[in-house]
Order: sequence, then structure tokens, then C-alpha cells
Amino acid sequence: MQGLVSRAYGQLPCARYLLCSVADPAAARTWLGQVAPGVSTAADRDEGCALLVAFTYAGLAALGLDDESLATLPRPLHEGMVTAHRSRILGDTGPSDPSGWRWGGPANPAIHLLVVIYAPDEAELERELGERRKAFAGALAEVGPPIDGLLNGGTEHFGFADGLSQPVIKGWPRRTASVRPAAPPPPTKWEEVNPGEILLGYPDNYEKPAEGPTVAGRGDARSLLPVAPWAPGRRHLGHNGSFLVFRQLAQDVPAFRRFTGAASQASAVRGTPLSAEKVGAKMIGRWPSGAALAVSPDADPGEAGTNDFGYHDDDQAGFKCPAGAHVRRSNPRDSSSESADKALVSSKNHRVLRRGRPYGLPLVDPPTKPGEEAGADRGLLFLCLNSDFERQFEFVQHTWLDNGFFAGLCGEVDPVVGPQPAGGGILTVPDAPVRRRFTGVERFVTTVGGAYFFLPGIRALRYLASLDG
Amino acid sequence: MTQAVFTVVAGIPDAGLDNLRGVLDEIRADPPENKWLPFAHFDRVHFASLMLAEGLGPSLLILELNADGTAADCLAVLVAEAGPGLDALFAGSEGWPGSTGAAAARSWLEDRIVRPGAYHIGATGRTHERIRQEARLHDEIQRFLDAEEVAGGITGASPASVRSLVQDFVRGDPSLAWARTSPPRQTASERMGHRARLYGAIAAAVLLLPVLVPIVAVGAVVLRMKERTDKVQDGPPDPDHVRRLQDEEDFAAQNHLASVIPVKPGLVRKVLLRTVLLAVNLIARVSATNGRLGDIPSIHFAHWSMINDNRHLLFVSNFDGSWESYLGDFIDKAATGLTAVWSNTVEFPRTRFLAFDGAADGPRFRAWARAKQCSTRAWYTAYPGSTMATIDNNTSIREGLFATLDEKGTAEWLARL
Repeated sequence: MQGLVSRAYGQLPCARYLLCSVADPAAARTWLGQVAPGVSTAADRDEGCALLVAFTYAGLAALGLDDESLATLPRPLHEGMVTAHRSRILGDTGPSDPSGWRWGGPANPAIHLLVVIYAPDEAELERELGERRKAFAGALAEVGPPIDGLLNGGTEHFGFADGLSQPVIKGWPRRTASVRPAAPPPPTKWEEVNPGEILLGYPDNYEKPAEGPTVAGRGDARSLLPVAPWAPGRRHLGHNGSFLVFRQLAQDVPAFRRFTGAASQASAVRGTPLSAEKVGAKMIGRWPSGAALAVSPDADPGEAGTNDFGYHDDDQAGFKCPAGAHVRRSNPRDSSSESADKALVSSKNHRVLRRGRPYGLPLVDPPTKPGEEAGADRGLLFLCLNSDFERQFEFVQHTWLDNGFFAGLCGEVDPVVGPQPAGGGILTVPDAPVRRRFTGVERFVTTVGGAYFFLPGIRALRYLASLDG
Repeated sequence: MTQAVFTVVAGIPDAGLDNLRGVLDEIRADPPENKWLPFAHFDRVHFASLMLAEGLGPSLLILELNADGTAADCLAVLVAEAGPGLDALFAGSEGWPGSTGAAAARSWLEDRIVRPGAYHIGATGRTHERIRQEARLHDEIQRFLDAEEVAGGITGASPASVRSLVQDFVRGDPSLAWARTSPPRQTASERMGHRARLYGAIAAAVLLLPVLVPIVAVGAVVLRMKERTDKVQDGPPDPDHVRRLQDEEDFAAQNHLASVIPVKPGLVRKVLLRTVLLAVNLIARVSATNGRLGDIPSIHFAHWSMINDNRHLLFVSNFDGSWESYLGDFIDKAATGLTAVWSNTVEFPRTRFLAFDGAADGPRFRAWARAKQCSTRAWYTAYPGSTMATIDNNTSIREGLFATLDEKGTAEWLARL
């Protein structure tokens, strides 16, 4: 399997994301054959740089995959991230409408491949980039804008620690499953999922094999691919692969700070004001340090602390962590039904493995270099892996984050990332004697690019390299 | 409070189909105010839909209605107020007398009513008017509290005094006079009636045990033989079919789902299906009266009926959230019950003993459900911005507004806002 499945390359803070099209299919296949042995795998330990290769549906077709095999790819990958229904359910409306995207939208060139280079520093990145570009010249053409990801010590641009809670594949030693360099605690019931939730070919949470694309057995003369048990006569192109979601999300940090400041001021009327930091924490569900509100409801303890907590027993009503807070929407844990155990089992059927990183420089006031100004372009390169787009990524986005009726709320979407209405949305913070309600929640996050990809395993890369035209 | 959950099913000859499709498209374009059946004008109707089931012999037009009052009263309203619309829908159908003769038209429609084998109503006992009123009460109280907050009225106030402020506000608004009392959701006699029927059925079954046991034993053997060889769906649903379904979904807080599926051939299957539906219905009338069906809180109105001479099983549901979350809920929380019903229809995923496996196989059940889903030609919701959770919450707010509450009760009531 490719390395991104088991690590986020926390030790390689620089990354360049190349969106490419196939310029010459035969040359592209040759390049793939040369590159496949060097694509970073999960087994690799310390490497200078790391490389990842993923394909859109159009990319697999351009490479020469036959129609019968293409038909075994999941419908969301075939349709792509941009359809009327999908944009509706992913919140890609208004300012996030795909017609305005920088890449991946109907007004942008078709994307066939995503090639990502991870490097320990800028100099290494440029060097590696130069070599890779020489190698794929003529085979691939870069069709997207330059996209650079830069880890910022595990903090995203609104100022909050990110990547703290990830599903952990049952049976795997818990490696650096997040970008944070802290020592990983042992996996808990909150995090464990079956391998097939992320990796195709393995049993998913329903104990059924996560089915990926297959190819005709007779087409795999060298038996590069394992047999697909659910499809007699066919071989599993998806073995050790996964499906990758990539969305570029621009973050309006000044607007976020304006809102938390204004809300803090409004809260003073009760005599017990919430600081701007606390308003932000109530929106996210964690403090800037990463500590969960459900564990530390009153003040930031200064460090992330445990990820071993639920909502059901102590906080079903959301007085500690509001029910609509971002981390609670992204992972409701045991809160979604009257039985805590059943709720946890159910919510674990919708986990995704996040592998994104920020782009752009953090806002610094006053700025010390270009890119730090308030109006500069910054945000999150959201990447995640799952085996079922609809049950996992799309479900989280549609049924949890962007759902105005999540957890019994009435017309409130995710306060941090949600597609707020034009006049501003509502944020309810449970409190005594009665709730605090803030209006004017703006759309702080805008989608500016996105696509769905197939991330093949190493054997599948070799198979694709061996296709005839 | 009587509520009617039913469909009107009429055969449509091929010659009339094109015209009918045009009418259905016009209704779909504007369900509340279209020129044929402007549903917003029928205040008693909560949810309605129109389906065209084709490819199973003569085509069937299915009109689904979920309304306050009786089915007959509901149809009488349609005949009186939407005669031309009914003409447009049923003109091609055999024997349609035309809407001008109201009594004949009502009679024709009533002959074609199909009552559910099993049904569920989420907001038990709440009329459309009550749902609307209680939503307005919620909004007014929120507006009041927001204004009080800014004016300093919440500062330093105790829970009891905040509630008192809200009570004063409601008392001071004559248009909210109805909120000062709170009728029960279900009358005692309704409750007792449903209980009596369930216990009666259980008692009858116990009395008939000596007869039932051998029948069930033989039936179980026959069933297992069938289950081993029944055809199951092969592969994923047609992507174009799914795309067409999705193009109609996710515009409101709720969605609609309809399917018309052939029952597996043979008497055993028909008998099993009827029995399971009867059992599900008896149990649901007693245990599913406060919003949830089992552990699933998101269904407004849903029902199963056997139609077309018991050859097909119709299922319609009006539920909150996406198709994906609805099916996920069923797979995770109610697979056994669903399997007991649907394993009697064709190509259902492999099942054991009527209720086991089947829907628990998430991926295959979802593929089957999509393949068998019928296109909803037109769909109306009286309250596109309300979920079961908000409806129930609003009722609880109204119920608790002037009730006698202790400290804990007051805090819980205030937490609803």
C-alpha cells in the first residue's frame, strides 16, 4: 500500500501537490512503471522524500484501463465530486460553487492524476520536484495551479490544534497516525475500526470485504494482482488501495476572529462573558491546545490531553461541548442514540482517515513577510482516505457537518466550516439559566477546488503501468 | 386524533401514460401551489406523493396521502377542491366518472384505497395545525429570549424566573392563547385500544399453539429450502437509475422513498408477509408512539401495503435526512425487522430464518434498496423545515410551558430552547 495510508509524513513538513493530465498514455505508463518501485510504501522507514500517485476516473481511462474494469469503480468516483446532487450535499453552493473553483470544477481543465511530493525542507522539495518533472516530461502535463502544503506544528489557521482524532486500524501498531509529533497513546474503543474502512480488500465494519475495482483475470497475465473473491474470474485492482478525497478549503481567518470577538462582546451582557478564545473553543469543540471541551470544559489546560472520552454519560445536553461543535459533528462518538454502545458502533461506520495539511502562511499581525497579511491566501488542503465515499466522507459532510438539524438543532450548520446562509447563521451555546445564541455566523471556509481519486496499492500501480494502449 | 395513512392505486392504460407524465411533471415543479393538486391548500395533508409503477403488468398510478382525519374525508376534500386535477390524473383510468359528479368520484376513489399492512406515524396525534402552531411558539419564544438577553433580562436570573418571563410573554400575546393548554398526544381510549388488539393477538396465538406449532415447524423447513435457492440481486444498481433518484433528493430537511417490489412467488411467501406485517403493526401501535420506531427517530410517516392482488409490496416513507443516513440507521438499528418483511420480496440479499442476515449486509442491502427504489414523480411536504426532533421538541416546549415543574424539570425545559 502507498505510505499515506499508514502515516501522514509528519517528519516531512513541506509538500507539493501536482494536478496532472495524461499527455501521452504510453509515456505515462512507462513513467508509472519506473516510478512504482520508488513510490513510498507503508513499509518504508526513513526516506529523504516521499511520493504519492493517485488517479481520477478520467485518469484511469486515459491510461488505458478497459471499459469493463472502469465500470467496477464506484459511482462517486465515476461521476466526480462535481454533480448537481453532490454539490448540494457537500455544501458547495454560493461562494463554494464549483463554477468558481481554482481546480476540479467545470471551468477548469480535466484532472487525471494527483502526484504529491513530501520533503523535509524547501530546498529538498525543489530538488526532488526538479527530478520528478524531468522524469515525467512528455508523459504528464501539469494542469492545476501550484499547491503547497506546509505543516505548522499541527495547528490549522484558525489557531487550533488539528488532526488529534483519527480512526486506528484494528491490529495495526498505532504509528504516527496524526501529524502531531506527540507520543501516541494506545488505541481505544473510540478509535478502532476494521481495516476495510480504509483499505480495499479487507473486512470493513460490517465484516464484508471492502470491494475495490477489479480487472478481468485473463488481463493479468503476470498475476500481479490477487484474486477478487466476490467477483469470480476477476482480480482485485483495489488491493491495498483506498479512495482519496482532496478538497482545497480557503479559510477567512480575519472573519473568524471578527466573529469570535463580537460574540465575546455580546456575551458580556450576562455578567459572565465568554472570552473570544472560549467562543472559538465552543465552535470547534476543542481548545487551541487541542484539549477536548468534553474533558476540560472551563479553561484550556495547555496541552491536548486524552482522546479517550465520550459525550453520552456526562454531556448529552452539550453544556461542556455543544452538540453542534465541529469535532462533535465530525465524530459524535457515543452521543447519537440512547444506547451509548450502539451509538459508538454506528458512528464508527462513518470515520475517515485524514491526511491533509494547511496551505499558506499563518496570519501574523503585523506581518513580517509576504503571506502573513490578513488578506493573504490561506486554508486547509483537506485530504482523507476511505473505502466508501457515500457511507464515509459524504455522510460526514452531509449528515453531520452541513446538516442544519444535526443532533436536534434547528437550522444550524457547523459553525466553523458550514455553508452559512448569506445573512449569517446561528450558533447556540448551551448555558444556564438558558442558552446563549449568537447570530451573524459567517461562512468562514470556502471550497476552492476538489476531486475524488483512487489511490492504488503498489501492485496495482505496476499493473496499470503494464496496460496495453 | 384520527390520522389517515393510505394510498389510492389506479391502473393506467398505456395510451394515457404520456399525458399523465406531463401532469406529474407539472405537479413536481410546484407541489404546494401547482394548478392540478395544490397541496398547500389542503391543510389536513402532511405529506403526499405520486408514483408511477411501470413494468409490472398494467402501469399503476399511486397517490400517497398522510392526512388528519379519515381517508374518506381527505378524498372528499380533493374531489371538492381539485376536481380538474383528479380528472387530469385519472382520466385514462378505467371507470373514472369525472369529478363533476362528486359522490361518484368519491366512491370510485374510495374503492381504490389501499390501507397499510403496517404503518408508522412519528408525530403521533399531532395535526398539521398543531405542528405549525408549536413551531411558531418555538420561534416566538426564541425571539423573545434573544431580545431579553440584549436588554439584560437574563443577567443574574434564575431558571425559574426565566421561565416565568416566558410564561408572561406568552400570556401577553392573544395570538398564542392556544398555548396555555396542552392536549394529550394520544387519548387513553386510543392507547387502550391498541394495547387490547396486541394482547388479543398474543392471547389468540397462545390458544392456537397446538395448531400453530406444527404449521410453523413445517413452514420453517420449507422456508429454509427456499432461502437457500432464492435468487439474490447480482451486482450494483444501474448508475443512471441512481442518478435520477438522487437528482430529486436533499432539497428539504426530509426526503421521500418509495418502492414497489414483486413478492416472491408461492403461497408461503404471501402468508409470511401478511403475518409479519400484521405483527409489526400490532407491536408498533403499542411501542412506537413517542416518535421513534425502535431506535430510529427520523420517520414522519411510513407504511407497507400489499397491492396489485397481493403480488407487489409497496413501501413509502417520509423521513428526515439523507437516503444514506436513513438506510444506515435501518442497517445498524433495525435490520431484523426489515429483513422479516422484505426477505419475502424478490432478489433480497441472502437471508436465514426470515429475519437473519439479509439487511445486516449493509453494502448489498443498500444496492438492493436503490435498485428496487421507484421514482417519486411528485412529492409534497407541509413542513419542509421541520424534523421529527424539532416537532417533538416543540410539543414538549408547549407541554412544559405552564406545567408544574420542579427545579430539574425547569432546567430540562429551558435546555430545550
